[in-house]
Order: sequence, then structure tokens, then C-alpha cells
Amino acid sequence: MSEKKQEKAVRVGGSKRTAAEITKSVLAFLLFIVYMIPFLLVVVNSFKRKISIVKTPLQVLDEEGLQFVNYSNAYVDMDFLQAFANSLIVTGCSVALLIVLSSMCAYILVRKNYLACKISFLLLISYMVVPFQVIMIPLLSIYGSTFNMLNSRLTLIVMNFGFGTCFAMFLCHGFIKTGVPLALEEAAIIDGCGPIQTFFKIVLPLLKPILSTVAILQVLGLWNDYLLPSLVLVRPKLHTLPIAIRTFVGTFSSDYGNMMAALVMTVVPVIIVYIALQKYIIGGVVAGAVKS
Amino acid sequence: MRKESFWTKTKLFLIFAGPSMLAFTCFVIFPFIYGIYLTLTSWDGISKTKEFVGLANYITTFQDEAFWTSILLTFKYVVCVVILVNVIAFLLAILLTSGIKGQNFLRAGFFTPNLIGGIVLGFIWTFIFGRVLPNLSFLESIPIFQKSWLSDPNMAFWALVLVATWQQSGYMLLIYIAGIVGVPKDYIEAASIDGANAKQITWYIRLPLMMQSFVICLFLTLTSAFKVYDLNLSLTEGGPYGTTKMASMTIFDTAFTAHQYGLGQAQAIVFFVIMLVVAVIQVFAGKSKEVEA
Amino acid sequence: MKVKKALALIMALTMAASLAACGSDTATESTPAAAEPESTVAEEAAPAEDTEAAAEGTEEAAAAEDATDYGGITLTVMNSKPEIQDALEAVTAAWGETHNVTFEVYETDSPSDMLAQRYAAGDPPVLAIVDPSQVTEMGEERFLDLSGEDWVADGGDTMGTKVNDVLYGFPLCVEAPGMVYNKTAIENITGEEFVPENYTSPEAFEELLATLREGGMENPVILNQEDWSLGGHLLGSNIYVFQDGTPDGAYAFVEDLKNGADIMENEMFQNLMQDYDIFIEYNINKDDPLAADYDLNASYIAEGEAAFWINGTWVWPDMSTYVDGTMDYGVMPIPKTNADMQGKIYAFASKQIAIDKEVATEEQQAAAKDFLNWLVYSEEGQSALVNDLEIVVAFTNNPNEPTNPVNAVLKTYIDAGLTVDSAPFSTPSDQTSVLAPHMQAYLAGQETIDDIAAAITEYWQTHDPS
Repeated sequence: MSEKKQEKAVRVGGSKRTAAEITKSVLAFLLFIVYMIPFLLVVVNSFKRKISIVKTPLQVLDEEGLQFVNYSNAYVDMDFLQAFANSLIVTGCSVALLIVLSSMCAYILVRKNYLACKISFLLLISYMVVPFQVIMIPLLSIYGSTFNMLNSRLTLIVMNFGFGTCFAMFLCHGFIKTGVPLALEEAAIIDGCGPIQTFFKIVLPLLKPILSTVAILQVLGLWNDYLLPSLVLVRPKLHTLPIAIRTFVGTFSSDYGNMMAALVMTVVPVIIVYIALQKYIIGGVVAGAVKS
Repeated sequence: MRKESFWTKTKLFLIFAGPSMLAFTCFVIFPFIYGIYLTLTSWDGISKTKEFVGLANYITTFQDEAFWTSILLTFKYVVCVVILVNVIAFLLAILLTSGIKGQNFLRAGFFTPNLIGGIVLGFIWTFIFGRVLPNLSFLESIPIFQKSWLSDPNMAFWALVLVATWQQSGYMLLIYIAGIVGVPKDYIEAASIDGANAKQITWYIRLPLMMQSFVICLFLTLTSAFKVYDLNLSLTEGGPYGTTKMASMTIFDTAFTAHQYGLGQAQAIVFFVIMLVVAVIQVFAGKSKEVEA
Repeated sequence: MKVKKALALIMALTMAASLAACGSDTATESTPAAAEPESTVAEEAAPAEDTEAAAEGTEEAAAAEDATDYGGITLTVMNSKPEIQDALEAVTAAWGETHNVTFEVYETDSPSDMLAQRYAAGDPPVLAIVDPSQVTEMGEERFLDLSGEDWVADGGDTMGTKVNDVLYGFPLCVEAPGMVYNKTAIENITGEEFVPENYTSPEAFEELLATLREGGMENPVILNQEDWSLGGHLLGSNIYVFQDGTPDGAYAFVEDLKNGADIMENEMFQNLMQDYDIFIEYNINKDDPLAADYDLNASYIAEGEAAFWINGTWVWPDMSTYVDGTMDYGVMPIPKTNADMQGKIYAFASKQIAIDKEVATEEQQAAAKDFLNWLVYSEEGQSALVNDLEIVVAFTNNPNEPTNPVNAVLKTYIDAGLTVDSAPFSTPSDQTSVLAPHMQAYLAGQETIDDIAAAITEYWQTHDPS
């Protein structure tokens, strides 16, 4: 829709407009290439033997042809299905918790002026400057040594939620403050909605753009997270994809071909999620809602 | 509005913020407090005994030259990264919401840098800096491309900034895009009916209304740049000869390599306080702008 | 509707949290090292109740009559030598099958951090494959005393890591830092047989390098840029160990530094810097020495583009990628000025296996000890070490020959008694990270010998060897 409109505008605007559009497109495309080069290198090298990766990384094809064997090796060696399932469970559950509970939290912190809200907001915000290393060992001592909760995906999910909620709340907080009209909520309350209904019926739908952003950023972060999962999930059976990729890391040198194949297999699902969630971000949902 | 009783307030707060605050308290606040206790000990991170030493670790931290050098370097890095990432991400966001062809596809491309981390990131970029750039013939006459960036202290620093920008701008781009499309279309339509041109719409309608995105992005880039560790480790490992060791790496090395856990933890707390001050200043500065808008 | 949904989620969260806590509590009582909250039912079968366990393990027990049945316990293994991971999994699985033991082997490339984290978490591995320094640091508090084991008499005593004369480490493999050489590449230029014994002094070695340069190999030496290589091995293994080849010499050297001795006067330091200058002059990476690439270095030595790689015997898995079978390789000591030290290589048990005494049950400890004994004394175990893990063993009773040329040459040094070792002397774990930057800066022409000397002297004012 919008693209068609744009095209029309270009034609109406005449040659000057068209030139500007072309410049923009060319610029965007050039930048796109620059950004993609490292990723392209990964993809290209994932089909090569280690010897040709090390000696001629820029060469597109291995002399001995495409090494699909890297993918099958990676699949077997990292126990891909198991690791994929672990990653899926951990990321999926964590993100679901984060989206619903953090937006609820953000909502109350924006709308209510309680002392508890102010304190909570400050605490959550200040966590974002805490280097993870500060709480790493204490966290392990408390939940490992004392409560013995490690080696459980559930523990990791709840921990991911605890750490991620600050960031998710922060993003939602800003969005609710400027993007969600109070008038709508007041109308809902007059119609007899309780606060919870108001939130789920009125506010949550309006949050789609920011929640998809939060979802993408969290999926991205958690799917690729290494440090916390490696501390919590030590048993090989529970390994997530980033931990499993470590199989190909050696003390001095690494198994680059398999590693890059593994990386490509790890990354593709995230790209799919990104493309799927994109349409929610490009919304303009708020404008429509206010009118109606 | 009608008055809420204490009970209603508590109930509302617990329903909405309860789960988040519970998890947050368990996994952040408790460990953090325990962490502060550890700074008062001479614990080495391994042994069973934790000897109480009072504020000795903090005194050592304040006298530790290497630590403050790394803090200074981190500040320099933060300034460069925050400016570059936000300028580039914002310009890209405008470019990619201007309705050019294939913008959805392009956005996905700018997002891919986030997907490469750890060892692979180190391998790819070491290769680009060490072997691609010095071997491109059209760059040969330019002195900065004749050697690997990673073997010169100054260039290694810029290599870190460059890769961080490459990595994070795609991330911030998403938030800026969410901000730009979040500006109600009615306002823009109304403005263009009133005869405002594209530039005016951007300056007088879009920018003020997306101030929140700026605050968020600045805050995020600021905090993540301060905390940089993974990139530092995989790209330069603090080298060449220890010249690009940022604060987090210094802390990590003190706590885990030198086995002075209490001291490392104290450094981390000092570092945390410094970051907190900077972050608070930034947030308040942003808030005042918001009010103006 | 929505209210219910939200409440359900909150409930789920709290329940989840409490479940995780309860689940693991039950598991703790059975086998702490195998605690796995999500499968409590399975774990509950684990505790060693003889009747149950025996019933479960009858099939396996029948297969190997003399093997003890450990009743399905789990042994966790932390492996800090990633290149043996696959072989180790296979070997442990095979032993586990005949002894009714399940092994869980996980790998790490930073054993020190990992072990500290695992102990902090109360979830240490039963068997830990670690560097000698971790045994020195943690042995007395965390590891089982192995002094009473049979294998102590067959090499464990000389190579195993001890703390205050108590043995805590099982020496898994012997490695030696030194110069890996490409014999064929050298002989192709010199036209005569390469005899390493002829090049034990810096002068003789430099002459050889000059000959090679004249013969067309412009830069015959490969120098790594990594901190572990320059700081850990080149610096760390030469100035301490080779003072007189004994721990006493190393301790005395450090003690003298503390008491104000001038390191510039020290023969071994002068020797090291003389060698370092030669290496730098003939370095294949001299255009941009700090951009040296480890994988390319491996290909240079394997393919004969250079003749000497300043590294150690662990290189084979990394260089074998580029080996085409037409060339011969070996390892030799770094040139020495002192006649007593010439021709001797520093060989030490670089990986040790320690058994946890904190959390592991007596049964787990017994099984772990049994496994180590099997490695040393059974035919399958001996073969597994040499042929599957492809290492040089520390035990004198193992009849198998090393599988790769570099290790084979190391074995000849060991058999001839031409090795030195400084155990139990060991440098603090931050020696490398503090001193390596100075070696790197020197390599890049940014620091002088005096700077390195000052850095070493200063370091030892605030640190003590163990």
C-alpha cells in the first residue's frame, strides 16, 4: 500500500524527486552490503574445508566443491535437535513471560504514582548498569550451592525473566508514556472495565509495535546468550545452541567449517522470527485506535 | 480520580508489578547484596574461607592505576560508540522508513550483525582487519590499511569502535524505527495539509514526538558500551600488549585470573557507581528535553 | 477471561519457581553431582541400594565378570583439553558400560574460571581434567589425596602435581614447549641430515638460520603473537625451569629477584633475550608480528614454508590439517648458552586429573579411582591413552608408541632422560597476563629489554610462586 503511494508521489514530483529516491536506494543498498559482508563471509566459509577457510577465506568455492558435510557434521556433533529444542524452550518461555509480565509492570509504573512504583522503577533501571560479573558468582552460590536449582531449564527461564524484565519494562515504559492515550483507558473504565481488563483489552493491543520490538530484541539476546546458560546448564543434555557450538572450539585453533555451519543453522530461525514480527512493528496502530 | 485505598493499591501493584519485582529481587538484588559483602573480604574465588578485610579492597581499587587507565579508556570508547551508533542508527532508520523499495528486506540485513558473536566474530573480523584490508590493492597507498588494525594500539581501539558500531546500530535501528512509525499518522497528515514540507515535518513533528526513542537508545548504547566485554575478548583480547583492556575485562581478570575475587568485585562496584552517575545524568537530561517537547 | 489468564501466568511462575526448588532438593539427597531437577524420578533410582542396583546392572555385570558394578551412578568429567573430547567420551562410555556408570563429559577452555564457578555453585565435576596450577591452588581444600594409589610408583610420583608433598593430580599427558621443526624442509635446503643435537646453542642455531635464509627460505622461524605463547611458554618456561633444571633453582631465582638481584645479570634471562632477538630477526611474520595468525602458522610449518615453530608438542591436531604425508617433523629444545642445560627439553604433565572430595560420594570417588587405575594398568586403558587420546603418557609401564611424529620425538627425549621439570614450582596464574604484554610490546619494537626486566622484577615483588 504505502509503497504504491510512494511510487505515485515520485512520478508526480518529477525528476528531482526521482533522483533523490534513487540516491537513497543506492545509499541504502551500499550500506546494506557493508553490513552484510561479515555474515556473507560466514555463509560462504561454512561450505569450505578448514584448510581453504584458513588459506583463502575470500574464495567463494572450495576446490573440492561445496562442503555440505560441514552441516551434517555440525548437526551430529552438536546434537543439534536436542540443543535446538533446549534453546527453543528456554527462549520461547522466557520471552513469553517477559512480554506479558514486563508490560504489565511497565503499565503500573507509568500510570500509578505509588511510592512502591517509583522505587521499583529506579531499581529496575539501575540494574541496567550493573555488570553481570558483579552478580555472577553470588548468583551461583545462592541458587547452586544453597538451593541447588542449577541444571534446570526452568531455573534458566525464570532467571532470564528476572534479568530481562528491566530492559523490557524500560522499553514499554517509554512507549506507554508517550504512545498510549490516557483517554482510551478512562473511557474503558467508565464502561466498567477493571484495571486488568483495561490493560489486556485496551492497552496491550496498542503496545504491539513496541512489544514486537521487545520480542525481537529478547529473542535475539536470549537465543545467542552464552554466559548465563553456560553457568546454569552444565549437563550436556541441557545445552543450548550457543553452548553446543563450543564443541568446535579448540584450545588453540578451532573447527571453523563446522562452527560456521553451526552458526548459520543457529541464526536462520532468528531471521525467520524477525521477518515474521516485522509487520507488527510497521504499524501505525496507535493513530487508528485514537480515531475510533 | 477517585481515591484508592491502601489495599487496592497493594493489590494492583502486586498483580501488575509483582512477578517482575519478585524475579528481579531474587536474581538481582539478593546476589548484588551478597556481592557487596564479598567486596569486604579477601576471598580468592576458590577457597572456602572468606576473611573479612573491611574496606581494604576499595582502598586498593582507588590506588590501582591500571584500573583507572581502563576506566578512562572505557569512557573514550563509550563516547565514540554512543555517538556513532546513534547517529548512524537514526539516519538509517529515517532512510529505511522513507518508503524506499525493499525496505523490509534491507532492515533484515542491517540486523544480521547482531547474530554473529563470540569466536566467529573474532575470527571474521581479525581476518578482515588483518588480511582483507591490507591486501586490497586500492587501499595499499593509504598508511592505515597497510598493517592489521589489531596490531597497533590506536587502530585496535578504533577497530573495537567500528565493530561495535556495526553490531549495535542494527539493534538501535529497530528501536528508532519503532519510534518513527509510532508517531501518529494523523499528526503528519495534518501537518502536510497545513503545508509543511518533509524537513519541517521531521524537525517539528517527528523528532519531538520520538524523544522517548532517543532517551532509550542513548541509555542502552551507553550502558552496553560501558559494560563491553564479549567484543573486547573476542576481537582484541585486550591486546596489542594490553592496550585495549576495558573496565569489564580488567575486573574479570582481577577476579578470575589473578584470583583476587574480593578486589575484582570491589572494582566492579566502583565501576557500577560511576556508570550509575553517568546514566542518571543522561536520563535526567533526556527528561528535561521531553518536557520541552 | 484475561484476568484468569494473567493470574494463571503468575501462578505458573511461582509454582515453577517452587517446583524447581523442590525438585532439586530430592535430587540432592540421592546424588548431588548428578542432580537434575527435571527428572527426579529417574534420579531417585540412582542411590546405591545394593539390591536394586544389582538387579539393574545384571546384564552388564555378566559381560565383564571382574568389573565392579557401581550401580548406575553418574560421574561428571570436566575436560579442559578440547581436542580429546570425542575420544574421551568414547573411552569413558566404554568403561562406563562394563562398570554400570554413566559419564557426563563437558568441556571448557578456561579450567580455572570453570572450576571456580562449579565449586561456587556446589556442583563440581567428580573428575576434573585441569592444568597443574589449579591442582596447586585448590588441591588441599577440594581434591582427594591420591598418594595411596598404585600408579604412584609407576610415574605418578614424578609427574603428578603435589601440594606440600601430598599428591592430588593424576598426570594425564606429558607435553613440552620447544621448537617444532619441519625436518624435510630443512634438509631440502642444507642437503644434509638434520641433527637437532648440533644446534643447541644460540650461535649454532643462528648459523643454521642464516644458511636457510641463503638457501632461499627467507624467514625460517615462526613466532606466535598469543600471550600464552610469548608470556606463558617462551618467558614462563625458560627463565624459571632452566635456571638449573630443578625446582630449587627456580625458587632461588625468584627469591633473589625479591632480594634485589639484577635480572639483567641473570644468565637465563640473557639467554632468553638472545634467543628472542634471533627469533624476531628470522620471524616469518616480521612485517606485522602481532598480527600473526595461529592457523596460518600451523600451515607454514606443516607445508615447510618455515622450518621452526616456537611452540610445543601440542600442535599436532592443529597442524595435521595441512600435513600431506610427504614431510617429517619433530620437536627440539630452545637454544641454550649454558652447557648443562643444552639439549634438554622442559617436559611436564600439562594436564592433571583430580578427583573431587567435597561433594562427590564415596562411591563416585571409588569409581573415579578405579577408572584411573584402568587407564594405567589395563591393556585397553593403556591403548586408549596413546592411540585414542593421542597423548604422551607419564607412566613408565605403557608399551604403546606415540601416534604422531612430534610426540614420538618427545618420547625419545623422555626415554633418554633429557628432560627437565620444575614441579612443584609454579608461577601464579596471572603471570602470563601480566608479563606477556611486555614480551608482545618488545616484539612490536615498543619496549626494550630493560622494560621487560623491570616488569619481571616488579611482578615478583608482589607475587609468590607456589
